Amino acid sequence: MLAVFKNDCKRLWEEKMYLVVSLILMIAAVSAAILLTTRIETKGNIALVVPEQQVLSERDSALMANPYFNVTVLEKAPQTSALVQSRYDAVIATNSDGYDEITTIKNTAFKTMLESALTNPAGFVPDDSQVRHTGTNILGFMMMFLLMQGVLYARFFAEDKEKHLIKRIAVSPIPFRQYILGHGAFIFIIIAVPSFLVVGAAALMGIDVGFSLPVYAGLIAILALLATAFALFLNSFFDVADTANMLGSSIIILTSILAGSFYSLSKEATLFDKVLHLLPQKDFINFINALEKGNLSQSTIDQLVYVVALSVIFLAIAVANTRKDYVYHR
Amino acid sequence: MTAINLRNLYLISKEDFKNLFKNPMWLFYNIAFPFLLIVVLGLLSKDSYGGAISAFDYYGITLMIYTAISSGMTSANAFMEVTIRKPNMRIIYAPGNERVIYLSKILSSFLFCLLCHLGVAALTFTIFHIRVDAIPQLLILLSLTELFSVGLGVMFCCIFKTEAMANQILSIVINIFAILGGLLFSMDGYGQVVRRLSYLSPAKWLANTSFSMIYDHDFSWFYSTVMGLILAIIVVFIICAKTFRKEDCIC
Repeated sequence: MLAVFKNDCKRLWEEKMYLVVSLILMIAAVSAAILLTTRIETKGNIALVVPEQQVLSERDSALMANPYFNVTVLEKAPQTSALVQSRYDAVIATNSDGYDEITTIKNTAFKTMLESALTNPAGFVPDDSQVRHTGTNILGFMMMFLLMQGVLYARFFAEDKEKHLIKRIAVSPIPFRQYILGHGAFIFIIIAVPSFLVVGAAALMGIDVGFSLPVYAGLIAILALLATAFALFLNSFFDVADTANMLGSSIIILTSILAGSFYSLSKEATLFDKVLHLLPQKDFINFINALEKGNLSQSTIDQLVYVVALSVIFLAIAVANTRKDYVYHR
Repeated sequence: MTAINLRNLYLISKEDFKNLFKNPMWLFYNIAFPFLLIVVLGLLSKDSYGGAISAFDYYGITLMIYTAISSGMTSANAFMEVTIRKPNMRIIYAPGNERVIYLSKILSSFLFCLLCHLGVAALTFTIFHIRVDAIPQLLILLSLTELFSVGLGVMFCCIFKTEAMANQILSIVINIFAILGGLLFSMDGYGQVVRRLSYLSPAKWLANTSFSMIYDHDFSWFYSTVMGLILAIIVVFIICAKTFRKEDCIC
């Protein structure tokens, strides 16, 4: 196992350009995740249309003072494309009768919420159960990149298969379990260490990253384990690196979005939501969300156990599948 | 480019084009994947939209842009694929200009991606009644974006000589641009700072141009975006020409 690991390191060292570029990209991706998520404001964006001569009505000024909304006063109504791109969630204009007219492309629940905020600004408290904290956001953004990196770094394993080097391993005294775990250890370290260092550097610079560094170390380790296991699992099925690579990145992008790693898409407790819990990313996000909000329960811990267990199963399948392909059976 | 070289380019591109259809992975990546993305994201966020404009109206456009900027993955893999290395080496020894090796890859994957993506667009836009307008302008934008991104894929292959590196760079750069540009989910509502940051991504300009053309008939962004794309394409082609060495195709 150590021999395979060392060999992978040497192969990577031979391609210094590749090493440098991929490390830079990794750092760029993680820093982009931190940079973006620490600046996200999740307020409702409202455009208040007030023509030049008109004065702000009492209700409108109350709305502007509301801390849950980000109100922009405009002279003309914004263009539809700004609404489509969610620049504004709603446009409020006062019509000739003195009533406020709300234009929005969002659902009726949002419109009702806004109307209640307009009529009763003091007693308005939005439902922020869906809002995530910084740590969850950072890890959610990082997750897709870390998983994709796994597939890319599995290329030494893919290269072994593509160039039939693996057939020599089959006749060598190294068992396949140790061979795969050697590659796994290499992928794990090359993913986990740089990303943790970036988060650590950000924390040392005084940026609020949400979790303490030891917790980050553990969470990144679990993500890296999942990435490694999935990459080896996928590559054990294909002999060509390109196929595994393209299929892998498509699957990762699709499932990460489905699992709501960037923001929660599905409603809780629907059948579809339960099916989505099969995706390890969903369980991971749920766990860190509960961890950050401080309401861990047995079921959220089980979700974390599921992620680790699934990774182990992926690794086991990778070993079994490779052994099946390359060891001669009577 | 003399007539004989053009003929060579045509013949080689034709073979490359046929070759692209042989790999089921590329068909999956260029047809099934964008289709699934649009369907999944559209259906999932359907509930948060009202009647007039649906989630598909947003994601249909942005995910087509995402698909177009991802076509670099296809060209990078088509250029350096295992089965294509030996045919490439034959072309070096054949009389004629060796530039046809990468030009034909750009041309064939451009046509392949454009064809696949137009098919996906036609299908999803009719199924989900996605609102489109200014179709000729959108088509020009789409083709230029495709040409730029397939050129970019080949460019990374020419610079770094290995496919692994081209893949690594492309997959990260594309996804950072996509997230920053609000292609996978809208970034505009996340406050002033994020909104400014999102303009760092060319994907944001494309999205902005398309949406203003579709919803406001505002073409002011269109010409500058087209000019920018053409400039970027020229730069990509120049870098390809400077960095391509026929020795790299020997295997």
